[in-house]
Amino acid sequence: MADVTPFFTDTPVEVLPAQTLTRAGTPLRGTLDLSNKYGAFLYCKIGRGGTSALSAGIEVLIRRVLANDAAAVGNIHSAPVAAFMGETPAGSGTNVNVTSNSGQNNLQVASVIGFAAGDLIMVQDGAGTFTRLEFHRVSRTQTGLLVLDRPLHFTHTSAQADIVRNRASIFAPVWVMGGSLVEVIFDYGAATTGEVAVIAAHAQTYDKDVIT
Amino acid sequence: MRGEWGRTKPPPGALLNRSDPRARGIVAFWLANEASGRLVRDATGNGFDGVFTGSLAWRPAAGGIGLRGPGGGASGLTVSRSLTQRFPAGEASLVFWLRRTAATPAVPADGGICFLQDFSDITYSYYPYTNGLAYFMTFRLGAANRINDITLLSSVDRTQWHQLAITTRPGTGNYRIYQNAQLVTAATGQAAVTITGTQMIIDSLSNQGFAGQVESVLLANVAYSAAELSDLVEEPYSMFEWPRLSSVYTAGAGPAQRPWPIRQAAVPVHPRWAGQ
Repeated sequence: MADVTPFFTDTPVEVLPAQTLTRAGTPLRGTLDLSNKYGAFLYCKIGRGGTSALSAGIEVLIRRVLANDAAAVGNIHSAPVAAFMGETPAGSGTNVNVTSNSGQNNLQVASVIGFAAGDLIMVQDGAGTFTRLEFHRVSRTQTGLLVLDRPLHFTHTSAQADIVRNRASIFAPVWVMGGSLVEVIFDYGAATTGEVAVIAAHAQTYDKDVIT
Repeated sequence: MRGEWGRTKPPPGALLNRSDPRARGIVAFWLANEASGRLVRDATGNGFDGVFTGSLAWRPAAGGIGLRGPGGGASGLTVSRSLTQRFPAGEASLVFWLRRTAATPAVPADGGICFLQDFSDITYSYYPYTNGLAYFMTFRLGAANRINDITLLSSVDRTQWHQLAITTRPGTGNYRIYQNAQLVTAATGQAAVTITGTQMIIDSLSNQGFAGQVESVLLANVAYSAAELSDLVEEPYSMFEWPRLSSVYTAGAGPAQRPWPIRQAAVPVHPRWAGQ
């Protein structure tokens, strides 16, 4: 009997690299070409750029695209394969105030007020860029410390004072069948309150089977 | 033929197989598999998506699969698209997988779960009320027509995961409440299915709320039989399919032939079997 080994991409494919989404701005769109692949898992997430409540959640829409995105009559199909909506309540923010090394679960911060076990957090460069961007889930808190449920990817120094905010939205991976271009939309919609958000979408594609 | 998922909750993007017998009459299916955010999508594609209000949350905390309600009645899951024209034959079924925080709540505000009806005290459904008895108004019109003082099955521990189903079709004895597919009570089914007030699936914005956890909610426009509900107890998600493209998935090949155990790795098993 033949052995079948599936091959998924090991390096995540950037559908939408980490970037900011502005309220009342243009929705962000990324595409993933699955026309010659079996399918993909899509990983979408939203970080909060501030602590204010949003009057409406940011929507994430994952859709199949006809005609490989070429202009053709009737080729726009707005119904999604999957859809999400981000968190809306007011959140909390703080900064890394003691160097927290990669590989450890402890993120040392100036304050844990407003943070709680189970929170999904975003850690972002103090300058607002994405060099050390990472998303985590808080396992527990204690004074000046967020204990994460897995180790940090990056070292965050006290001098960098990286930003930490809760109320991130990290959605379950979405399975999308291949054979088509797929688009991912992040849409702030008609929200009237809420700061800039940080969004990202990555994919893990199922490329082929090797039969031996 | 068994579906692809059976006891394992499918991920977002999984397709509902309408040809599966277990998909009969499904109008909406809230799997609560998003794990984050404020939207609980209707997995049928019919667009009856629910949106969180208040303090309803994912279980066991952010990043979980399924929902939990704090009780107290200050939150809910609301569907904005009208369901009222979806029951042309006057039949309906509402099937929950849930467990309560307490078998019998200490206060009424923790005893409710809004089964698609208005929220005044006299028209509210309780599962159960503080006296341990249940009251159901789902799919019924007129406060006087609530089914009152229902003795629930002692064999079903409401603090453990179990199935609760409400089915209706016109006629004597055709409004039925089931726990784990066992008939609890029957009354006369009204001539039409009525959904009143805000279309809330879980909890309430008024004074009666839901304290407990919900794994999924299924709404159908047919009245499921006890046998069909029993099938749903055994395989609540078998009507969902993993999209198959590869030639290795030959016709008739079931999950056992799948070349890698991604079902077990990707999503949690239904809590009834996972021991959660």
